[in-house]
Amino acid sequence: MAKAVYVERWSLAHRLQHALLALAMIDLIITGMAMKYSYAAWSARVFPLLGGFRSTLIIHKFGATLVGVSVIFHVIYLLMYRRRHGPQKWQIMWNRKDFTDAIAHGAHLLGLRERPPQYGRYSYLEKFEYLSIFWGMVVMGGSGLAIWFPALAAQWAPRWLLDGLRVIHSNEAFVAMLALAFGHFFVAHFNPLVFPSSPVWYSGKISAAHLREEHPLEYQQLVEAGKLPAGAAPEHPHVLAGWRRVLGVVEMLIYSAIFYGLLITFIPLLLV
Amino acid sequence: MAAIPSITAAHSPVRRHAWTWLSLLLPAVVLLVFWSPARARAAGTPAEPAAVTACLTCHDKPGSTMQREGKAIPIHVDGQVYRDSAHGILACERCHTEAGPGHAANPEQPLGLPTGRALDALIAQRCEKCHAGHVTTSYNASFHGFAVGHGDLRAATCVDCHGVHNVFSISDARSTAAPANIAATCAAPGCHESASPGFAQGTEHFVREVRASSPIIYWIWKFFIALILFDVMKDGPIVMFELLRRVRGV
Repeated sequence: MAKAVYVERWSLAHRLQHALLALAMIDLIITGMAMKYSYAAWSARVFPLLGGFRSTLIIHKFGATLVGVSVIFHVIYLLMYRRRHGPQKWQIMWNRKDFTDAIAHGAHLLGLRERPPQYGRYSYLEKFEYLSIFWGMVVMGGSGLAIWFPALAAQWAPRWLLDGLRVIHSNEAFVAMLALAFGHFFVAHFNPLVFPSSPVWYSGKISAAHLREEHPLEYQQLVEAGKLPAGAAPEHPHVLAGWRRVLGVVEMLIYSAIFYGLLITFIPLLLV
Repeated sequence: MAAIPSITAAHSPVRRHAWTWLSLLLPAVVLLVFWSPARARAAGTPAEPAAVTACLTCHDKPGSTMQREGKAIPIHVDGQVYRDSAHGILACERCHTEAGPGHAANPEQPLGLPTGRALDALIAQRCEKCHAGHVTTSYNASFHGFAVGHGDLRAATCVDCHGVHNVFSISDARSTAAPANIAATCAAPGCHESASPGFAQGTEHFVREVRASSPIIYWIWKFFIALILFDVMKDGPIVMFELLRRVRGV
């Protein structure tokens, strides 16, 4: 096989924003889940590792502050990008093609459609994830601040609303964790094609082969613009072979076990 | 003849006055249900005022303190306030289990109790002896309960909101947890010092799974359970079918 060609997907600014947010999220999920499941036996073993309940809460608020910093970082980045490149159509924004792509992807996965949908720079799933982060910032940030400063918040909000916001904070956190475990970590780490990790988040680079497979329209544009030599990537998609195929089977077992586990955990909670 | 039902039987003297038996039994049922637990809870009542009086002989001296590790710790209990309180019929030992006859005989002997917040948390554990059920369950599920349960003693225990020797029913205006007093109680030094009246507009003792304890919390929780299930049904199959497609090489 010829030497793999790499393309820059993330600039240094992108990677720094991602690293900051990733660090904050790891902190928030560990400390937050320990507090959410305070009644569970395992959380009583986690608190001492973090220096007790009080310091766990402090570490959680530190993570929240990091998220706040990353939000500011990102907004400044967007404003500067616009200033440098002029007003433009953001590629991350939704358009009609994303809805047809979503349906086509579902049909493809179910075997009703042979060809997978052709994505540009961002797939509909990536766009949805970006949008969820925005939504998550508003919901988690807003509810988190209200229960961080209850005395201040209670000047505008009745107490039952603050209690409601705590329930929202705790459960939206679970929704976010699900999105990370299933959507994000699968794409970036556990997909047998990229396992143990896609290099995009640390080196910023993606192989032309992956680009062609996951973002064929962007690949086409780069070739047409002369930024990539024609034939930089094989035409046929990756096929799992050897240990990666075994890994795929193992993951099928693990992911489906988690899936059924979640169903039998949450369906009774909905019905009672 | 016994097989013949209705009219004659219904008008037989015994049947016709069946309700009189019921009216005789009903008060017994009422007493059994409402009175006997109260009896049981107040068991030994006649002896208790004397026990309380014995404790108050030393403890009802305004300004009295004891020395512990170089600090003066107040040990005064206002007897009048305590006797008026909802707990006034209880012997001191019900909550102060360490202070038995040994303490009366030798009051200078240390009881081995912690001080400050740790003492509050310890005593508050004993509330559950009588107040088991919803109040305890809901407290343990609250953020205060989580924090105290895991050793962060800054958070409120039972005694911080309901008082120590001045516990009243929350429908009594003298209760520190009465609706009119809640905001001020939350604003106690070291707690939510800038608490506003908004703090009183809700309920402390709710369990999210119990709709009657707070309908709004219950429905928010249900909404999120549905949202989580929606996400599971959406994300789970996407990953599972993607893996399947890859492994099968199609």
